[in-house]
Amino acid sequence: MGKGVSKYIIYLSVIFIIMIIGIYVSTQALQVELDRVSAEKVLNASEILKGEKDFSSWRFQFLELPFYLFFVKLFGPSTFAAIGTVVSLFLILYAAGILILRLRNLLNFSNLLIWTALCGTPDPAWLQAIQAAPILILSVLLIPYFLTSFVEELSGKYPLKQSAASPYSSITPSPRRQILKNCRVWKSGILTLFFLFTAILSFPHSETASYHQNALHEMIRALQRVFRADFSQQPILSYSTGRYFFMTLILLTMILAAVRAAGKNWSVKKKGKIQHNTFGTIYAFFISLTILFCCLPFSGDRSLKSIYCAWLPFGTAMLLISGKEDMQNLRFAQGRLSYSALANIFFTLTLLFGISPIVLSRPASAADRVVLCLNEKGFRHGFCEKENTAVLTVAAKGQIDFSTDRNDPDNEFFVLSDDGEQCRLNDKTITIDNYIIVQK
Amino acid sequence: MKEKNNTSQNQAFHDADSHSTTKIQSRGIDHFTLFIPILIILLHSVYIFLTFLRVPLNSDHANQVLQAADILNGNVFLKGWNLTGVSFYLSEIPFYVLGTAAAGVDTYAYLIAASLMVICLSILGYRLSFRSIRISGTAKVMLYLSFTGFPTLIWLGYLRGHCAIFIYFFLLLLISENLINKEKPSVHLWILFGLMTACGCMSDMQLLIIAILPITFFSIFNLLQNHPQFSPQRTAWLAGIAGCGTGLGIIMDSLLMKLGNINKNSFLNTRKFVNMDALGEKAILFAKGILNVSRADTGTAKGNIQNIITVCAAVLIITTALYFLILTLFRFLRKGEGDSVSVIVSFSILIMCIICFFTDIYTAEDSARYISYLPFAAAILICRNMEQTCQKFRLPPCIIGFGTALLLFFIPPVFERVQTPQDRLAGFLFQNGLTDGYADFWNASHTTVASKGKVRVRAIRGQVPELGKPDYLEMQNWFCKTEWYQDNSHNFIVFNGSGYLHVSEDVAVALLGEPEQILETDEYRIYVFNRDLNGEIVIR
Repeated sequence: MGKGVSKYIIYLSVIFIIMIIGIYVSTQALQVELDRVSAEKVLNASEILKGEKDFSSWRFQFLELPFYLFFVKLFGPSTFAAIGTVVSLFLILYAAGILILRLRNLLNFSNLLIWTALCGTPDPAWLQAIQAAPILILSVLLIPYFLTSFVEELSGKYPLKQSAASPYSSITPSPRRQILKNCRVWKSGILTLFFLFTAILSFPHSETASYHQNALHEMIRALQRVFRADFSQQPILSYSTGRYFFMTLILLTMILAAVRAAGKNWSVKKKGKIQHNTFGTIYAFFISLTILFCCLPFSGDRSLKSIYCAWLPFGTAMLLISGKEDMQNLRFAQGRLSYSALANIFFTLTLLFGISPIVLSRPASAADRVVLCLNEKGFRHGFCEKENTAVLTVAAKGQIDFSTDRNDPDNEFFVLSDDGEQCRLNDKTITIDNYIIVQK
Repeated sequence: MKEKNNTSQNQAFHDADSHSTTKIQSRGIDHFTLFIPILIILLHSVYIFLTFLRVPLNSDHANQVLQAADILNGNVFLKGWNLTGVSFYLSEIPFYVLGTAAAGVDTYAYLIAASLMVICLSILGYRLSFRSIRISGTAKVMLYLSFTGFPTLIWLGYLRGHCAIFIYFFLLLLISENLINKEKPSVHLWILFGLMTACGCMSDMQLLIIAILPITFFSIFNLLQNHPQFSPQRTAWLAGIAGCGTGLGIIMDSLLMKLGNINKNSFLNTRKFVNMDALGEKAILFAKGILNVSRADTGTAKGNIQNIITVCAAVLIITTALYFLILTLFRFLRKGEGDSVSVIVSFSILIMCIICFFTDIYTAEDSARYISYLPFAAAILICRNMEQTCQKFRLPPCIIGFGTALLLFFIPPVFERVQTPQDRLAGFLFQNGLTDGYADFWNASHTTVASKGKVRVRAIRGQVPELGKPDYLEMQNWFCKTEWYQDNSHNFIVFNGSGYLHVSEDVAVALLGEPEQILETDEYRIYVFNRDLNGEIVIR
């Protein structure tokens, strides 16, 4: 079978895998609870589509707008619009990674396996983190790639195409004039800056200042969440235990590899030389930076740290794939087993155990049940607190009007958050999870 | 090549032994006769039994005595029993059968069984601590007993819980050492290994954690080595047979449950990973547990000088063991060097600690019973590594170590067992003609055994919804026999004020009415009714 044929087989496989992953991710996205920010995006998109507001009213990351417009047009201002958006953005992230591998001549079945094992089987918790800032994740995923190209073009040291010997070699650096004329340098530099600015603009922040003493503990919990290794209070005898085991190993490997690779680069840089595995080293640097940032007490609570760390599984996959290329000649078991074969076995198991429970219908959230209750009673207009308005409006698909004016005489009900205070106006109250519905 | 090195190392130990024997014999002082080490071991065994006289019985072990008595009465498959999450059928029960056969339904049955288990464990631990096959060497015995001799009462209290499965583990280690290192191990040894694994897993699945998983990891990492010290085929067979043995053990356990119509409560199925937000508290609990089993009492007066010294000694031993654990695993994983026993023991300690730390298997102070074998494991690690370094043990330092342990941990022997409130309760009930009744779990079977079966107190619990009236009293379906609640008429309930599982006076009065008579003794109040309470206790 020629190289061309195997290349087409890989491309077809990629398309097929993306389709399967799309179906799988949809089943996981059904379990993602709609948060306030996503609900506001859906409502904003709905208002733009209706013509009530123009494009300048979009307060969020601009690149997300087309997706929300499309899915709100398809499903209306409902939870499914948010689900559709997160699934499509996730698939773009997944495909972007494959594109990077292709451009780096790293696309083969083995690396595709690693990429899919780490990034192709998200669970609802990770999807929720991705949903909050998908463009940030895409930007942080792409910056190291373009930065690597920039550095390599600038230094004149390129990786060779994959060969049996070391995949990297160096040639004499080009003179400065030639570098400035090299449009690839300009292209990769500009794209690096573009995605850097996009990342900065889409950087999420907490509306309230948050300082957490247990920043390190929160960071570990956030890492566990995005790596699907949050086994807190889960049964030990279940299928998911395999996932917790493998993903915890990968998480620990990521931390060690990132620290080691980043540290190596700094020491090599002092001598004026550039680490030949620039690609992996730059990813390691960004991973280290993310972890360090999340260790700071000012980087928010566990939810916010999860958003910052949501790109790490993608980055880890790139780091491990690039590092694996350097270890092709390693053999084990008296030479009978290659490093690649061992990695294939490990990541196959990771992929198999990484599958989370699949649901085919969206479970009713607390907001859904509140809306159902209000619909049963025939209510159409009432009060709810500002932080719940968007979520309840989307859950009601715009059929119930939620006002933030407590003293509105047309209020038929009050929906309050259960914050421990006694908020009863009369005895007609219904409690659904952390919502209290008070009938007027 | 490395196998030859291993064999030649063993030969070197043997030669060193013989050489030192010849040298010392020439001085006219013979430290290395068999007589002295065996005498020390015998004295130590007696010491263990006498120390156990101070460790009171509890209802868990009382129920094992009653199980053993039932087996001796012909109910070999424990028909009609409701067990805990573990059957102990071929682990603890055989020892209790021996004890009950010797002493009948009596607290001494428990004492014989428990001390016999600890003595066996200690002897096996000694055998594993040194590579030399001959049980020789006063110095070696003294060194070993510095770490494991003179157990504290707290440690013995934990050790008696799962001691027999630790015996299984040490036996498997001995067999695996022979299987790996002998030139031509016999087929019978392989079969024995498989059968022991099956019997152990059938009895107590803790064997999976402390033995099977470590052996499997050892085999896998040995197979991955480019220059393995141990035969890859043999280690692969070892892991394979261990796995098959585990499966067979699970099947045997299911068969036993069906044959005896036994109801076994699920344990592992209900276990969860720990709440990660509470890891800090868990770390403290776990550390206390390790110190307690390492003969440092963390419960009593903190300012006590002896306590401080024992804690320091425990920390020193733990640190030394940890150092050798890391060294052993590092050498094995990086270079494929080491001896199989040390490597498997290291894996065992690591896996057990990880599982205890990250799951709710270890939730309270008494969960230290799961890690109570660690001092023996530590002794094996330390002694084996020292043997590899020193190749010969000098007597004076070993005597100093032994003497220090003696000074710190020696408990003066007593010749009568400790009397418990349940002993006095048993006597009181019998004197008042009360022979069949109920109590909470911790006062039920304990009193039954304390009375030598003359008084039969059965465990009950109350069902009381939150903020509601009591619903009913029911048999506590845990480590009991259903027919106990159906056979005789029961007419009294014992309370000790603890209200354990809602067995309290208020609940009893609400559900059963006022008693005809209330008797008091020690900390107990006994409600005596003039009717058979059987029909009013729910039997499941």
